[in-house]
Amino acid sequence: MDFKELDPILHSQLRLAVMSLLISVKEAEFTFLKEKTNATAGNLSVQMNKLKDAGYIDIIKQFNNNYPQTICKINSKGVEAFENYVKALQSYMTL
Amino acid sequence: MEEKSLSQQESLQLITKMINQAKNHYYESGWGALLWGFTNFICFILAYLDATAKWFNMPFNPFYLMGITFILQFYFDRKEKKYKQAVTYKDETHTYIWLAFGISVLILTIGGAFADIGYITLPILLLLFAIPTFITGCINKFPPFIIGGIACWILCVAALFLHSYFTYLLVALGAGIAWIIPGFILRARFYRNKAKSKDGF
Repeated sequence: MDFKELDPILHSQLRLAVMSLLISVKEAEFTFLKEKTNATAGNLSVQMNKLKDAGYIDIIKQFNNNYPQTICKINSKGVEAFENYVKALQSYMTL
Repeated sequence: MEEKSLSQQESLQLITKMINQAKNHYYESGWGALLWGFTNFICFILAYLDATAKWFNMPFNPFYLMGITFILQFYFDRKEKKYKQAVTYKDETHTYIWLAFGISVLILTIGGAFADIGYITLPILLLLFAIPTFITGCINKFPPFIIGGIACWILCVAALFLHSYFTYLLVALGAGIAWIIPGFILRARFYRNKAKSKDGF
């Protein structure tokens, strides 16, 4: 039986939650991800940076009416990694 | 949520849970439906009175009021953007559907005005009202919009047989059923959800 290796970047609770949320929307604010994952801002920020460093998401920092705003988007590399991760999971589940 | 490793089963459960959370995220305050519902309702009532009542004389074309609504929409759009935390694919679909609707209505009304065919275009207008309203209702599983869309189709059939200025009233009624009533329901739901989230729900 050929086992596909699970992507270690995605195989963590908070990072996987963020990727699952981002794959379902076009873009989301940091506050949206924080609210949906119930994570602390600090922890979420660290995990998001790991996803960004892996090249899976894009983070855009901007100002909206003088308030700082962080917009997050999954990119094509992130979509591919997520799809591969789900396929790998499915291969384990069908055992 | 902590950073911890997951079993395969837990991973799939987490993915499903998060996708559902994002899918069910629906930010709609109802102002758009109310704004355009009331504008259309008032404009068509005024147009009917202007065309039929001798005692009533509009100093200008009542549909010029729509210009004010466009400005208000621009203002509210900017205001709402601040509170919208995520842009879903559903939001994007809505934008394109309503944009196509807006362009179609502009072509029909401006073209109708230049061709001077007055109320003859109104059954088509009701038909156009029905399409995006019905689709929005179906996408968001929101029955008041679905009912509103169906009502506009029925009113369109009625309007096809009415060759009089009375058709203006049918359009006003269509705007009321398709947008004003759902708008108030959405508004109530919006305030209810806001109160819930304040309670830490």
